Amino acid sequence: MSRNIILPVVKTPPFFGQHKPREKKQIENLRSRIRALERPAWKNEEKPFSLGISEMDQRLPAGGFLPDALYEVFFDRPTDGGAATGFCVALIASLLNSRRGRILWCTNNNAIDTGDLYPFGLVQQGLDTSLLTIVKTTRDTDVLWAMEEGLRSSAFTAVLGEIKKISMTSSRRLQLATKENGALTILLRPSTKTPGLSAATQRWRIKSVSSHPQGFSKSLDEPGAASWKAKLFRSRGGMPDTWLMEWCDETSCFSLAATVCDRPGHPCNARLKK
Amino acid sequence: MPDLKNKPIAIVRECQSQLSISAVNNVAELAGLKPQMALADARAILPSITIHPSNLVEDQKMLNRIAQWCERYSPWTREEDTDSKDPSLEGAGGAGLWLDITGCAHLYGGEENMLIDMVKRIEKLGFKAHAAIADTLGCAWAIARFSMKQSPWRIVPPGKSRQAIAPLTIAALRLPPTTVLSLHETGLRHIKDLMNIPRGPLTARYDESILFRLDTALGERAEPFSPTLPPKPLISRLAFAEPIGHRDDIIRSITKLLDNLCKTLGKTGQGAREITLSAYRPNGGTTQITIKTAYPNREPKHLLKLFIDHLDQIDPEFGIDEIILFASKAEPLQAIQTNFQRNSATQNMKSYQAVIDRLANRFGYHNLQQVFFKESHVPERAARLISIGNPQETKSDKQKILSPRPLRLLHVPQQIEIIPKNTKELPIKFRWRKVLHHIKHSEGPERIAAEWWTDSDADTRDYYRIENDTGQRFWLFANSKGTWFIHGIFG
Repeated sequence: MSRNIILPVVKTPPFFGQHKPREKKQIENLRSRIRALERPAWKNEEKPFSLGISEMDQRLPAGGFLPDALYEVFFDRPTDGGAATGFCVALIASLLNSRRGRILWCTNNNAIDTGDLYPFGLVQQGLDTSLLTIVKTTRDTDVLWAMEEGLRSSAFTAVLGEIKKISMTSSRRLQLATKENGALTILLRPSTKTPGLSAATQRWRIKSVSSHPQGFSKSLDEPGAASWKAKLFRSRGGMPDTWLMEWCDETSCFSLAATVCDRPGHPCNARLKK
Repeated sequence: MPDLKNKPIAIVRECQSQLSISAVNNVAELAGLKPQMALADARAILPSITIHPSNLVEDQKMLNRIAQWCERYSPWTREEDTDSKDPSLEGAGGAGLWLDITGCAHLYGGEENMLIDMVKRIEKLGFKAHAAIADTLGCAWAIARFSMKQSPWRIVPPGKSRQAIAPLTIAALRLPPTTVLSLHETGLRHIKDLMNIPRGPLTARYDESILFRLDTALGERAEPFSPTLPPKPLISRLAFAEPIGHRDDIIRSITKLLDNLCKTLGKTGQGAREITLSAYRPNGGTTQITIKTAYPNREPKHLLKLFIDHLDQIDPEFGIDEIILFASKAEPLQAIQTNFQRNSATQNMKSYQAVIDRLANRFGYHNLQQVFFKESHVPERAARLISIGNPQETKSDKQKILSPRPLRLLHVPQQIEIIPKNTKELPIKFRWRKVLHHIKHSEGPERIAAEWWTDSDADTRDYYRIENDTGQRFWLFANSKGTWFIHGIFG
């Protein structure tokens, strides 16, 4: 079920955080009314989930990631497969903390050629691999078919597909299936200069950047915490933005990385795994 | 095997945490071995004894086959329903069959001829059998197991049950061993002792079962039994007066056939794992479609969907005049109590099974995978993706390795070009897929040795976790010959 609603927005606000309190409340009211119209009546209001970085959540339009929206995650460069995969896994893992359920992962060798998923790596990124079902396909159309089947079955909490090219129509179709069935849907896409149009709620580009080893690992010249530059280049109802985030292996949590190399990183303020 | 006949053999099984004998052959019996004897005692008597572990499942299957064979004497035949773990049977001579021969004996020229024929034929099959005919089930059971000193068969004349079982031991009443033991302790050893004491106190002291067994053996209470019926073939067939060729007609007939088939499956508490559809054409050609399900299923709607995906394979040509559905593989499926709640766990499991079937029918089961962990140090063996629907291999307990592991692992490690060449030390640069990477940070080596117990010529690997100048992380290793490979990519 979907209805198009045109809001009489006169002026585009600079970004969500800068409204006056009264305006903010009005907008929030309108948003919840629209959401109620767009969603089947029996479904509960979905609460946004977070990667554990409050600075990021504040600047996202819904105050976090929506568990029933379509996200696109691009590699920034052809070699950024690991970082982009890590971002997707982190998203799914933090969703599963609040909403347990199965995951469908549609791999596609022709889109992403950086190898199979490795269970130990997934576990270290915080994912419960016993919930994972993987479909191996070789074509974009097959991935779309499998994703839609997965969404319509309502057996999965998160559905991910590795896709090279997707048309506006297909992505719209996927977006509708996502809204109706309330599952997190992610398209993992290899790097491209022309991403094309898409109905996705948010589109991200993930790039790995040099890490800043600290303490013991610095003296040994070992790699520090994995650092990614996450660029939100299209966001429905929000503004594009960029974050520099760090994944700490020891504490299994994200933090914003300090932009200047000699400054200490922010302290971890949220844990993914308890 | 003829040489086995002359050797002492015993079948052994674990019973009350000790190995004891459950059956012996003739040679061993002559030497003095008996069922229920401890294995240690048996070895002391006969050190040369050959031992085989017991296999209860195969025993039961064999008994089923003999029961089917015995239907030549009477259709009302079944194997004795006892708890197969009950050790009292071994003392009483092993497994048994029940035949209701009412109205059948004259076909063999009387009861005695029938009984002799039965015992002799079963002996030819390679089994030692005792047989008895009596008025009641209980009496025949007691006589066949406890009153076979002279000949392997005995007939109790009508109305003589009381006299026949009176001198037998109490164990002949099909009572559990603990009851028999406590009756022995009170001095009640034979069935005739039970017949003469007041019934009230006996029931009060023990329970109903003793008098129930006694009454049924004497024919004062009824003890009916039903024969085992052969399994119904899971098949459903539809023939048409006029050949059909339209897609909708085919779908309609498959729906009807599936309804019938699922009803048959439901009656026997089964679900289909594999269904074959055969469409026959008047000119003799056939088309077959086989669908498989990941979990037993008997929902016509779901199965129909699976067939519709493959409907294009049917080429009706000039029409189809017969369609047959055959469930070639079925497994037990009990009815599930459903919840009113919409998103309950059972509902979720059901929809999961359904979607797995749909996906598997399009992509094949080998392309549907789940995570599998194994005790191993070799990275590609320790954690793998295996196909769904391998019931023996679905074990997946969460495991953790402390040293970092990549998110993606290359299917086969790929060789990389290193600069400087021919070094066992970590190189400064390397080239993978035509891209040059400068190594900026590194961690390692982590030495992972091949599994010496497997017969592979795999090499020891020294793994390094490296980061290049743009922050990408790779898992490299050098084998003992100094060749470098890339194996994985970190997040």
